[in-house]
Amino acid sequence: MSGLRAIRMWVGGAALAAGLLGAGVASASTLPVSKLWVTGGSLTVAITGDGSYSTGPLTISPPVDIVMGTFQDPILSLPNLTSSSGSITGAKIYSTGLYGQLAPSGTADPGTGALSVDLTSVRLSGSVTSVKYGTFSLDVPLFSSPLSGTYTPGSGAYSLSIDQTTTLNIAPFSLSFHTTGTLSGTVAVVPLPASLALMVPGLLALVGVARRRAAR
Amino acid sequence: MDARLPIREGTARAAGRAGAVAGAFLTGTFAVLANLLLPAAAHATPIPLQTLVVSTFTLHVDSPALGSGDFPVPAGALPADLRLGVYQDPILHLGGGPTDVRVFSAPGPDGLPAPSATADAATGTLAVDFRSLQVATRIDSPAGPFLFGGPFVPLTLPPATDLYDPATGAFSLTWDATVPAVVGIPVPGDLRVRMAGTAVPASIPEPAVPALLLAGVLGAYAGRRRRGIASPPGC
Repeated sequence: MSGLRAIRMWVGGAALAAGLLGAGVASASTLPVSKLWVTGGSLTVAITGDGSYSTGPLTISPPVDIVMGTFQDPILSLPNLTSSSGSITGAKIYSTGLYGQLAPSGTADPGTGALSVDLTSVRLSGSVTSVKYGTFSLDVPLFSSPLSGTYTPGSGAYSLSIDQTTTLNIAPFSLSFHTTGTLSGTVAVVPLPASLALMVPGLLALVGVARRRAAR
Repeated sequence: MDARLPIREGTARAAGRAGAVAGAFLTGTFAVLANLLLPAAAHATPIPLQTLVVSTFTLHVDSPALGSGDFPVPAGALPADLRLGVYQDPILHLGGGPTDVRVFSAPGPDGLPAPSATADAATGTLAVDFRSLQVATRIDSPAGPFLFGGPFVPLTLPPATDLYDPATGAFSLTWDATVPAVVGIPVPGDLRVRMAGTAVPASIPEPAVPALLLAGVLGAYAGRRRRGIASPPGC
């Protein structure tokens, strides 16, 4: 009987320790993001330097969903623009794995409210037709590295601020692309599978402690 | 009646001979003149070209955003054949390292005609239509490739400085243009394009050649007839 009690005590102690430690680990770990609802914000892609080119602010409207772990084409179709000198047609924001980038992913830290999103597979493409010069096409990455921002764990509201520069070496020339803007909306996070595993030892610990007290 | 007949026959024969000689002379003169004049006319007519074998190619760029310099031409890229009358992809690759600029010809969304060129031997000049020359530029980066495409030259090509040597087929073509996108990259700049090499005429015979051949044959035939009439057998 004493051996059984000892075993129960050890099991209960171990489970309690695991539950406590696991809870500590859980609070320090991040949760994967399953989806970004982008309800506001705008992006500007510009080439720095004299005579630079800029897309101007591309408003994210209507709101879009960016589903993590999958490629989407399009994420957002931009409206066509026509003027007397030409037109912009077929512009869109999309994600692709064609060039080796990983599908969009992200992590959210409920403890600190930090949000990190990897959207390096997201690109901007479109055509610009000039009456005088003909039709030009463009297909460029929007983000050179993961984006950082903040979110509110309770509501999931987030804000991402973007200010990235990619310098291209076209010897003997060089060219810098500058992406600026903000993205805001709501983020959905997935509970970690580890949370379930941590809950089970915690419950076992409680049962063990209760049985130990009953036995006394 | 019978005594006069030989006289009349002789007169008629003499008149016929004189007419034939005059006709043959006129025909021969016409043929000789045609052979002299038509080749000159043929030379004055621009000769359609089949291929421009480009052995020298430079693309100088002056752009506030990019800088100034010559776009590099990779080793082994030249000579390159620029085929005329057909669309061709690729024609030439420029750049180096992470940058590749593919020059090709395509109708594009505007349905532009295939590149064409004619050489005028009389003036030693070329006339080209390169509106369908396009570029596809890829610049690799850790964030993924930056892809650009567009016309290589403006739809209305500015006047070119061009030279053609009919004896050797050597040509050179130079033009300057201010464009809103340098090799498709949306930055404005001034381009100076120069290509030189050998022009290959189209293998299809000119329409004037059969006419010249026919005139020559007629001239030769008339010349033989004239000689035959001038010294008839037995005279």
